Amino acid sequence: MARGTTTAKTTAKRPTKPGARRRGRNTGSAAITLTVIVIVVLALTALPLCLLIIGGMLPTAVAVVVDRHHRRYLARTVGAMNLAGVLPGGLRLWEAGISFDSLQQVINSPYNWLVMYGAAAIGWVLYFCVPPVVAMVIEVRVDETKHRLETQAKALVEEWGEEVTGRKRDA
Amino acid sequence: MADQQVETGAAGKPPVRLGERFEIHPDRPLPDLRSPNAAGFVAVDRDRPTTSMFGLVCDADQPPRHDVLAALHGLRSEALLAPHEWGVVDWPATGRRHFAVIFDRPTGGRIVQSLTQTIAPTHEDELIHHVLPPLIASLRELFAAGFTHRAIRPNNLFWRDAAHRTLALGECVSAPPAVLQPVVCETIESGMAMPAGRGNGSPAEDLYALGVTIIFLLFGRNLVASLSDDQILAEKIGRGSYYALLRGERLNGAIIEVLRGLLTDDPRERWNVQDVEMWLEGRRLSPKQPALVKRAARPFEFAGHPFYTARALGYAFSRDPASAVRTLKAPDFEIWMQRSLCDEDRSKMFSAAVAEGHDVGAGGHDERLVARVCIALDPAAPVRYKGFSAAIDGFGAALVAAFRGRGSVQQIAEAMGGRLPQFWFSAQSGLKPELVPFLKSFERLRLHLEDRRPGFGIERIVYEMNPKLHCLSPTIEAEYVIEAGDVLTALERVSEKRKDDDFQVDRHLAAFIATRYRGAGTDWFDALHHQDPAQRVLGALYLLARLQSFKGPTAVPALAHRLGRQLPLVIDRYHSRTRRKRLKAELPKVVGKGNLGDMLTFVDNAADRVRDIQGFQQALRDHAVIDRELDLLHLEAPRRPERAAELGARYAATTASLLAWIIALSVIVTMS
Repeated sequence: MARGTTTAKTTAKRPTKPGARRRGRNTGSAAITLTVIVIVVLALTALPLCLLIIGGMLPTAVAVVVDRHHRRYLARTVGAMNLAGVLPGGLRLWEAGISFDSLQQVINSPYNWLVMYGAAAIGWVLYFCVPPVVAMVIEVRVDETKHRLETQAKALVEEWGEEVTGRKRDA
Repeated sequence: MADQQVETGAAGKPPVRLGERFEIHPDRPLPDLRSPNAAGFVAVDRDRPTTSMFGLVCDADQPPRHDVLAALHGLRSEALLAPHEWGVVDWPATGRRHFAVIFDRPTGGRIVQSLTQTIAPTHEDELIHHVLPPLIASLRELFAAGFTHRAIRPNNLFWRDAAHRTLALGECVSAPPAVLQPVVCETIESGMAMPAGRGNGSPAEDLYALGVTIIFLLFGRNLVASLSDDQILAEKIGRGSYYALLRGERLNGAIIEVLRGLLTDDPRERWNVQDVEMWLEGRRLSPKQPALVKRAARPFEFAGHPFYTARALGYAFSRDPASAVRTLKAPDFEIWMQRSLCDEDRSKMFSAAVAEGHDVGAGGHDERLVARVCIALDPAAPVRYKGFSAAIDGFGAALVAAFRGRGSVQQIAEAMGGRLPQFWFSAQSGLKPELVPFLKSFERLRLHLEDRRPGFGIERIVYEMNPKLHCLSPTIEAEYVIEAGDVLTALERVSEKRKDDDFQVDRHLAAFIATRYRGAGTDWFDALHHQDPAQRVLGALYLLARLQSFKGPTAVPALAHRLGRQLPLVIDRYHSRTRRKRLKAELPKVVGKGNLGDMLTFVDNAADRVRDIQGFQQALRDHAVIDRELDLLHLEAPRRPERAAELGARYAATTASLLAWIIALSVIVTMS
């Protein structure tokens, strides 16, 4: 029973605090500022690499634009995968020496684009597929809890009679 | 008559044992020795088979006088029928138990069978020298022992010997005092009471009855045989007993003195035993003149008749309470009392009678007013209320008679509830010492009367006032149970014939046990009065188990079986279904032993009861928690998809981050 209580408490909705939204918005702004600074620094020090990242991270930019959630789950999901996809191309550019020739070699390879945009696509897929799965799992767990509680209540009534429900006394 | 049932149908039946020594032969009735309420049979003393004895088998409707039985047994007086043995016997003719008494058999037979019979007149000398001395001596012994006879009448006199030389007073124990006395043999006060309500009275009543008996013997007939009881009473009140009973017949000789002395209507003036003995010894006393009754200067008209005395008017009021109420509410009566009767005591009592009514409840107010006024007018008379009329010490026997269908229980209860006995006591100028205990008990009994629980009420009062009355419960009445210790045996005998009937403790049984077995405690009264049948069954079991531990018997299987059929109700008082099931399964085994104490412990174990209650309370709490959790699940159901989406997105972001890190590390490792 105690376990049931815990479950119920876990699944109960916690009201969103006003400060959480504000904190999320601040975090987002800081990330954008940091991103801009990184891009500016990269553009000044390694322009080819900066161009590769800008081109490779376009799906993330789209995700940032379309994501209206204050916690930016879509941007974080797509961004993380997209960044992992850009990493091989960036390393190849790094190894070949950061120059526009090397950049041309990297961007001319469809494989690199596939990796960069494919990783981003996986991020999109994750974002759309995981919530229904989680919802399904929650429903199953709720049903289990309900069934367990009802079984316990039924056992109590069988042992102690209808009076144990308190309804008879109230009547 | 029930005693005729006792007599008939006994032919061919074997002798009935009474105690170790005596046998009563149901097939050998003695019609000449039967009392109006007891049949006579030949009895045999097994130790002395040649002794002539007879047994009286009493009608169960009239309780015998146990206290007088013991006294007479000890006296062994010449002119009294002495009981040798008494007790309860199984009587085959009626199929029930009766109280029976063994007496010496008076071989000369009864003088007369009824008061209408005529015999040869007894000569005055014969009376003075042979008849009266032994009778008076016997009565002196009886009075000295603190008892009265209350059955002295011509048709209860026996010739002790076949030669008709010695007279003996007949039995006086088979019925309540004076219940069989004709009005002619009773004093005015006692004659006004209903037969069952005349009470033990005092020696003065016995001596009065002796005086009436002497007149019968002198003339050989009843001089007032042609008059009804009411007429006899009216004559006695109007003319005085002496003149009323002689009806104008002339008497000569010394016997006039003793008759005047014995038939004086004022008990204080009446001759006592010493007076009669002195007279018999030859010391002649001056003849008593009838005391003058205070008469009013002018009569009071009531119901078309003129009344001059308070007693006569009181008697008339008691006979017609409805008219009396109208009369009492008119101012004429009080004016008559003050101006014509001129009896200050009576006037004061009348004022008290009217005043007391103001603090009594509305129901029966008028009847109680009449009853109190009757007491005020004639304090020596019995308490008279509606149709009920009893001497103050006759309430007990009157109540028994009412319960046995001769009178109204309700009227007696109303009279006691209305404090009429207490008012009667307040009206007495000089209270007899023997009546003082009654004064205390009436107040206590009124409290019992107001208690509606089984074990109290009017049923309790009948047993409190009649300490040797057998239990009148319909269940065991036929078993004639006198002692509480015999209740279970009787119930067992009855239960053997009625195994499939549910058992219930009725009000009579409860009151009987409450009175005769004080050790039973008082906690079961409430249980028996409870609306819940399970509580009532438990109360009955509790009570009977105590009785069993008190005097056994150790096993009452038939009664246990009857109670056991109702015990599932008690078991169902446990909350736990498992416990109920287990107890019900084991119940037949416990019931089979017939021990009520074990049964009680089995179905109402205190430790089990506590565990059950604690378990139930825990279950209540657990169920409440479950209810709350289910309610919570139900309440959050609409918000669940939104929360699932939020959680899913978070999981997706976290998963993507982890995956990205893994990919990044793999790429770095691969390419380095």
